[in-house]
Amino acid sequence: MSEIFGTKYFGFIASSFAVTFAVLALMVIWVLMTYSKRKRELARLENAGLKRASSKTGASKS
Amino acid sequence: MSIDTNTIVAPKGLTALANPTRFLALVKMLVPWLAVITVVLFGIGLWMGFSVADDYQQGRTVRIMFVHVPAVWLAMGAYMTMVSGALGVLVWRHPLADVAARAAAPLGAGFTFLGLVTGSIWGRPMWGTWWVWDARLTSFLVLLIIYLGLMALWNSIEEPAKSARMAAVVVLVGAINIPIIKFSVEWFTTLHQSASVTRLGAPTMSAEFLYPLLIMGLAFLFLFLTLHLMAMRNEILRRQIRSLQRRAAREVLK
Amino acid sequence: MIALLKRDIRLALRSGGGAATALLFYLAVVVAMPFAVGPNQELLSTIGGATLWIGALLAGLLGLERLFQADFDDGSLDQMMMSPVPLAGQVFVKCAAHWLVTGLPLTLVVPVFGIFLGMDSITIQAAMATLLVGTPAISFIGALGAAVTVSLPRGGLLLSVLVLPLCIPILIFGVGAIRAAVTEPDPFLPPFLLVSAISLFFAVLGPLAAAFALRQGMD
Repeated sequence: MSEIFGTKYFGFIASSFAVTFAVLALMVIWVLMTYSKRKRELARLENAGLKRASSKTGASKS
Repeated sequence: MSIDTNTIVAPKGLTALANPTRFLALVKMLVPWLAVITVVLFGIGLWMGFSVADDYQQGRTVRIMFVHVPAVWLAMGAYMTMVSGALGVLVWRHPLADVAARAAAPLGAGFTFLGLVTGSIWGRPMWGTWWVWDARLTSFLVLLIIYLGLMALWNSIEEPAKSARMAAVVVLVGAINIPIIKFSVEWFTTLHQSASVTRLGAPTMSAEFLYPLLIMGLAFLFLFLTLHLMAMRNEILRRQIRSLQRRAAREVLK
Repeated sequence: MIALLKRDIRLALRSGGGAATALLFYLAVVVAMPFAVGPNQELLSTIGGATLWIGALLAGLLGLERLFQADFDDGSLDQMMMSPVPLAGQVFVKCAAHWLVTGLPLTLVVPVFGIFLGMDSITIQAAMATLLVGTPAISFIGALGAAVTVSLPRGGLLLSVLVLPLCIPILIFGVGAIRAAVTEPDPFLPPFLLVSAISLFFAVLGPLAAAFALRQGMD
């Protein structure tokens, strides 16, 4: 492992792994954040009295 | 109350997944396992990759192959997922087909971008250039543009059924790019090296490089599977939100 | 179908149509290039083929936006769909009209523009040949993009984003063929045949896919 450091190629290897980690991490974070955002929005809408199933809707909110 | 057909005859296979609620339940069960497998595979792959010896031809930078090649594989794999989704929309009219296709697009774009960047970084010490307009690199860049165009198309048509079918047609026509990427290194003399793993006959790469590469490939694959299922779930939630919002708007107007 | 062809050509040639615009745009690109590149004659003749191709691609894109727009606006698109003639056939005819008004003139003025760009006669002939077989592909691929984006606001931008990636292989082979005609060891025929093949392939796939997209768009 120590032979990797100190070679003139270290910058290239490091940056490719770094960008890989960054892009993949961003993808994961994006999916997770979208999920929690949508969960919250759904909960908010359902609390406001709307039901998803075909049961009758409650009193309309304005 | 209407008869719940699920309890009488459980539908098999993909039809069983057509029901969003069942699908969401399946996702909830699968994702943790897939995520764990992904992490484990990445751990093994990276450890193997770093402990491998230097290639006599390419020196230490060969390690970049362990992230560049899987990224490219998944970039094309994500597109094939969209192709299956497109066929599911047009031919079998599976309700979740469009969801699958839409969810795959941003992930595929990410992998394509990653493949381009890692390829460029690898190219600099290898061939002295950050970029060259040869057939494979150009068609891979075209893949990224196709991904972005598709995402824009999906976002610009409101009605889900219409956008599903329009996008499906474009996905299928654009699929011609995939064989161009794959075989361009055979048809033209290009700077990029020719296939050494996915060929008829045994791979020409030596085992000590092949195994870490395959493990990393699996790691990327499981990452894609995990994220794809989660993205499909996000898309289903989005549609539920939309229909609730439309219902709310109608309520206000009453 | 002949009537449709004649009508489309007449429409395009009228002042509001795209024919003159496309040609003028082409002229603008071809003239701007030498100014931008500078008086280096050798450099100019090298990129001459590429300039002609890029100009043709962009000029073709300009006209594509209009391919279905007018019919969509005045309702004749619905009539086309209800007619007994297959929609794909009608789309094919519209593409042919588009090509006759855009791609063909662009090909025909190549000898003149080639002189602007300092190209020699072999290069000019090669350019004409590749443009002749390649510009139809732009019309056919563009039909699909136009069909998908016809009802969208700002559809023209999305149209270009969808059509350009699919046209890049044609560009690569077309320019490659022109270059090969001049450079001794490179054969001209393979890339030229590839461009023709792509045109033929999309002559079938383009109208079919476009007709399908048009029907989807109308629901």
